[in-house]
Amino acid sequence: MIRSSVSLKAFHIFFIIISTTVAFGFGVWVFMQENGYHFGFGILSLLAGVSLIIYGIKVFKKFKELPS
Amino acid sequence: MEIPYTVSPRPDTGIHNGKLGIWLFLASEVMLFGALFSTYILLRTSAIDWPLGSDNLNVPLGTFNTLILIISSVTMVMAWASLMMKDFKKYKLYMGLTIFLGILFLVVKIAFEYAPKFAHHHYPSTNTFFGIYFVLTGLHALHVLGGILVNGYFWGPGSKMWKKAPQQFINRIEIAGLYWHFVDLVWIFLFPTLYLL
Repeated sequence: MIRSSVSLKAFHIFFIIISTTVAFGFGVWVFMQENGYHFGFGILSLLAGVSLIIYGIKVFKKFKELPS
Repeated sequence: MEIPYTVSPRPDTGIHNGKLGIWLFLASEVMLFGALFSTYILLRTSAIDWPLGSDNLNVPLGTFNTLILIISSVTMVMAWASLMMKDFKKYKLYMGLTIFLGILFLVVKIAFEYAPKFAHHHYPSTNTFFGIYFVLTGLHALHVLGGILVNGYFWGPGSKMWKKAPQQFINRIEIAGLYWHFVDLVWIFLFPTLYLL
């Protein structure tokens, strides 16, 4: 249990979850700005969030294939 | 004398000693950055007026640097996974990319963020906001530099270990990867805290 939770695999998955949250959070922050602040960044950030989710699922499956 | 438990897990902890060591070090790092984050919160909540980060800092550059570090974490894991699959050439490629992205982060930070700030006479002594901004991001940049040096060693002269003791080398790369992820995670928290709020 301890062995798997302190591994690079686990930390990477945790990192991707946090990064996804920040990507969506930044997208929402951009759209909340009254002056349409860097509108394109908002779109890109939301796309980055979706990409990170897809990547996270793929890498989670790949990690299972790696020898322990 | 051989150092014990560098490859096999120690029976009482269940992990090899290097991994235990890096987690203890990261725990101390959490306390260091945690103290500075707490300082930031206390200073901000007790201030009558506080400048908005997005009005004073370059948000597009901060976003770009965030993306750079997220990609560098992916390449770092790829480097480690390549070794697990016994592909040393791919390891070299991904580790090289990780180092390049780390350097790119520092170049953007120093040449395109710090330099214009200094040109506009914004120094740590200008106000409390810039004081905490330079301390937090400067300390983080030093950690990135440390990571680049360690990764550079493992990419260059340190990679000779792959032939002599492959499992120990894989463990070392995993440890370097844990440190690199931590440094990237700190930035993931720094970016919204300083640049957006």
